[in-house]
Amino acid sequence: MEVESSKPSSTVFEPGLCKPVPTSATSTISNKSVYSETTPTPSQEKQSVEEEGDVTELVELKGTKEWVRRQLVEHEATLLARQQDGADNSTQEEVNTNILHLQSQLHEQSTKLSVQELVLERLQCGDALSKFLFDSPDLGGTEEEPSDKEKEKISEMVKKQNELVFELGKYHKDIQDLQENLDRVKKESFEQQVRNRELMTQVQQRKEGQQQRSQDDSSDRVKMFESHLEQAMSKISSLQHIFQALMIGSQVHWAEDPDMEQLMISLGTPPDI
Amino acid sequence: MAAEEESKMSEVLPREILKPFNKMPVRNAATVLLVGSYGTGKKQLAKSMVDVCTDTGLKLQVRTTTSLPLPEENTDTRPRIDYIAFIIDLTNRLSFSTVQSAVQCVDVEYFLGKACFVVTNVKGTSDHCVEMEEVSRLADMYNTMYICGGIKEGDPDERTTLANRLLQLVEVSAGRKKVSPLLVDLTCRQLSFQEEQTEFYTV
Repeated sequence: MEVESSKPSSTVFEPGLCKPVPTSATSTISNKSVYSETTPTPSQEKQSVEEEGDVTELVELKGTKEWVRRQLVEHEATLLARQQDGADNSTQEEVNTNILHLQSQLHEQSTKLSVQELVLERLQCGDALSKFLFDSPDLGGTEEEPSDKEKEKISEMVKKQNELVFELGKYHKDIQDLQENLDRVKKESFEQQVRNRELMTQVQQRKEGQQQRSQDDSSDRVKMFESHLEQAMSKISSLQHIFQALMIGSQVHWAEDPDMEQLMISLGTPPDI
Repeated sequence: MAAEEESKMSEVLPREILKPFNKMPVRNAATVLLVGSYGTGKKQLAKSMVDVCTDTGLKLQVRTTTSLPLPEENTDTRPRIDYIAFIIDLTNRLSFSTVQSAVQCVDVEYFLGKACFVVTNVKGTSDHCVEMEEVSRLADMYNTMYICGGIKEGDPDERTTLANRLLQLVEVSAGRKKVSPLLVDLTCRQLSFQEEQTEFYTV
């Protein structure tokens, strides 16, 4: 496997391969075939250990292949994105709707792909299982007894899997119902809040109107009361002057009597509230 | 206004901007960059992430920095940064301003699912110098999610939970999961309902 180094200053670079996998894996690939199960060897334990080692390496290689594929997809997508010219004339809303549209497409495609992969895996597992359980073994009759035990184990596991899948289906249905409920409740609460807002604005408007009206009324009433007060004050002061004039005209010696003196002085001071 | 923006942008040189595709990815390895000012708990978070990661078979390298752009001396030896976490402490105004200046030195491709904001000290609003609205506005501006968690305060379990969450996001951006980072970024926001909500708040 070759490793290409990226150019340090460029903005666009050629996607290279990943780092080399551990040399032990490469040596086994080059030296012997992975599918060594069909070749009969004298020691079965040695064969099973080797098979396990091969299987783990195969799984690791498969993982590496998937990882490289994903990196390639990411780099190619970035390249594509950089090559596209950004349309500067479009408004923010147009950009937002574009983004939404693209995101829903991405969502759709990813779910499709993952469903397809799941279905494929299921089919492969089912196929392997049915072959193991129902097809007659190619090797001799000495291997029948252990394969029966294994068959029992596997049939138990299949039964358990069926039960689990059934439970899962039930949970899914419950979750779906709950989700629908939640959505409905969210919508209702949102509508309620909007209605509340409207009612609050109405209440606010009415309150303001009421306050305005009361202010107008009160200003009229205040003016009326003020005029009444002025009239009363002027009446009081004129009565004061009349009493003063009466006392002076009656030729009573008001200065000699302290009470009369006090009265005369109080009649002279203007009314103060 | 446009002239001011241009002058601000010219302060950051193109070679200083952190780009995700400048270097080769490495199998079974990932590098996280934690950006935050002093006292935000980067080292503790880094240690928790490394502790959590030991069982998963991923070689995680956590790098911390108090500001961007990164120094040029280590550019050749530094591996590709797969994920950036900006740490904001709501009780520390400097952490928020550090993050605000740091996001300008990061390429826009990081904000498509390879970056997030980590907000700490969210509980107990009496000590807050930074409003949560400012943080959510920043996150909306960069179309990136933010995670609330605890690093220094509270249980060590909170720190482990936060480390776990960050680790899942890092694994996705390093390509170890079957999901692409864009898909994760897309599914963390419900855009249609969010638009209705913004209408409601402006009434």
